[in-house]
Amino acid sequence: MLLRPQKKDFQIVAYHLGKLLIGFSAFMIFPIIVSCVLREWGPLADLLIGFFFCLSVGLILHLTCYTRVEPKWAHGLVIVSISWLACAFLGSVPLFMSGHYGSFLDAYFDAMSGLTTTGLTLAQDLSHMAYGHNLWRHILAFIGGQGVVVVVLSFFVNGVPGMFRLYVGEARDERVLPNIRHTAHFIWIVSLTYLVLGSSALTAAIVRDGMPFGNALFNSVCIFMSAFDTGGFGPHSQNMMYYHSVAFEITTLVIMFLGAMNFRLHYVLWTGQRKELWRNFEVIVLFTTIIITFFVVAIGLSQTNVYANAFGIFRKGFYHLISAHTGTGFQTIYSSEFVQDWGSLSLFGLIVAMGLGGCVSSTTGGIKAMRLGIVFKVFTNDVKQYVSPPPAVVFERIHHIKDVILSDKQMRSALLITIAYIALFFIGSGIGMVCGYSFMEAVFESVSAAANVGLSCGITDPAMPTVLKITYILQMWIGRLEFISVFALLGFFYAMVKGK
Amino acid sequence: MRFKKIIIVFILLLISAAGVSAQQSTKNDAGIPVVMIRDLVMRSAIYEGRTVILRGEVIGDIMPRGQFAWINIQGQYNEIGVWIPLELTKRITYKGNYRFKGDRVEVLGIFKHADEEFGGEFCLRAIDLKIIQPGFPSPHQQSPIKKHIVWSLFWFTLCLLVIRFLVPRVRKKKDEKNDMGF
Repeated sequence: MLLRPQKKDFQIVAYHLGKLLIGFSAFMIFPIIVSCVLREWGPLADLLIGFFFCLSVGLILHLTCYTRVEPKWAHGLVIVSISWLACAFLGSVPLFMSGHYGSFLDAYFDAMSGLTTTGLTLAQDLSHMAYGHNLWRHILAFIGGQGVVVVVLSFFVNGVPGMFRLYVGEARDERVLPNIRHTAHFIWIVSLTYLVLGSSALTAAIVRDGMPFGNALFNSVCIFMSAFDTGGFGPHSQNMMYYHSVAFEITTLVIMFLGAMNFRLHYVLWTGQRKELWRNFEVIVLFTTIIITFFVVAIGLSQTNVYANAFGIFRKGFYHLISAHTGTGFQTIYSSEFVQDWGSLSLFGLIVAMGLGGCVSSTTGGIKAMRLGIVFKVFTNDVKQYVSPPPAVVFERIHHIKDVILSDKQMRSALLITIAYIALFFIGSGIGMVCGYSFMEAVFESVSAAANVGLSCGITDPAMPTVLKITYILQMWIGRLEFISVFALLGFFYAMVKGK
Repeated sequence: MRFKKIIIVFILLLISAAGVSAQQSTKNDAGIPVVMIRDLVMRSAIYEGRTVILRGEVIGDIMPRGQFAWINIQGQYNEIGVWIPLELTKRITYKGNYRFKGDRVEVLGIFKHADEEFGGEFCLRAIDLKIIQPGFPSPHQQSPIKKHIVWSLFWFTLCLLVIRFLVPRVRKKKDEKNDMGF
């Protein structure tokens, strides 16, 4: 029997949402400091309004819905899905007030795109945006990449009982360490270490290529946050085209790779087990799909002759392929060039790469290498089963940190989520085509949004239909949370209406 | 009457068609096409390798590379990278960002859709640069309404924070009373 949620259920959800928003507001302090230092008084006011508004909403929920009841699985999932919507809403307040967005929906689109590490943007005239506002866009991506809920709860609030439920709700299926709080801390240690190293490397690269140090540092920090969290935002309208620097692009390639790796694998490598990199099933699948899809993209580009030499094919083709496969979405060409110049085969390769994504428990979106590998194992398992004598039971084994025998549950789960992603890609593509875009354009943009990539073939524009903006917002949200939390929220609403 | 209408419509169509073709083939005195960045993006094959004139605002940084430099020019809808002799960049005073509206320039250069030398960069190789309108500091006036909102929210949040720190004490006392069996 379906039970209607009680008052205490709402209380649990609202109380934890309040806690979360209090923590989330703390992240706005960074751009506030930057605006103060750079004496950007207008943007400072926008950010302060956003900060106080977010903090007061959090405090009101925290005070009025106080409860000591521990959240259960359903609560955890509902908290996660609602909190991503709420954080995007409150995070978009300073963006909207910046005057760089045509409407609040556009600002919300950008905030959701940042949080889900997608990177599609509706911001106008980014080149004249204040540093404070611009930094906030990138911080949104950085927070989103780590996972809003767990980060906030493990750092700014003294944790909550049942944190693992929230952790899983944010599409992180693996603990790095036995304690979930330690896991969240480890993720942050990795991210902050790479932030220092990555930003330094990027700064060195771009200073060498002529950018003044101050701007280089700001750009590097922003680009690092986007690259490592596979977000794809850039501080300029031209995205990566702005820099005209091979060294800068190569550095971002390395950072994108690091961002696409499983945090558990990072832990193992940090603890000195380097061989794991070459033995890990997920890494093998990831590199195999990168090689295959690059092969497809390279053949497509050589057919169109758009780039005269191998250097051009590699610089543009490989860069965009990695940007797509890791779910980052950095672009070094104009959006319309994909459709005009790249040809169907290259686009096909890119779309497949976008859909596949990086590793599980990383900052990437999409189906993920692990699931793809498991789906492949499901097929080979079935074939082996058919050709084996009847009493034989065939097991599938993979090496992921340790040797694991795949269970039916794991196989079914991988297959289900893969199918759900494909359905999400199709739904978005369908709506895109209804809005008048061609098949290839609609599929490209839909996969990019749902797999949290952020490459655009030109559809994403402030002038695009409102229905498509809403579709992509939903796709980004659902794709980032990998369905389960969103289904739980839908179930919660259904129980409110139909429950007894 | 109907015949007159048809003639009027026909004349209007002719005028608009002439307007469009004039727009497409806007040229300077030397016969060099004056293009928008959008034209270069949308019709790159037509302009590939041709000398064109482009107008727009200088944005961001000048990034010197030896005797040359990269600058970025913002048009009405798009931006483009310009590979320019370093000497010419000395004419630029203001570069567009949050604080400044950059110099509006006219760049004469050769368009490259996928420049081989730069690994496929979409760019303009500048031959000459003219400032057509100097930049200026952007006036950013502070909105008094925003100021009021900030202060109102500040006091409201402060009250909530005070309550937030008082309430747990009350709750604790209440819990202690309950535990003692009152």
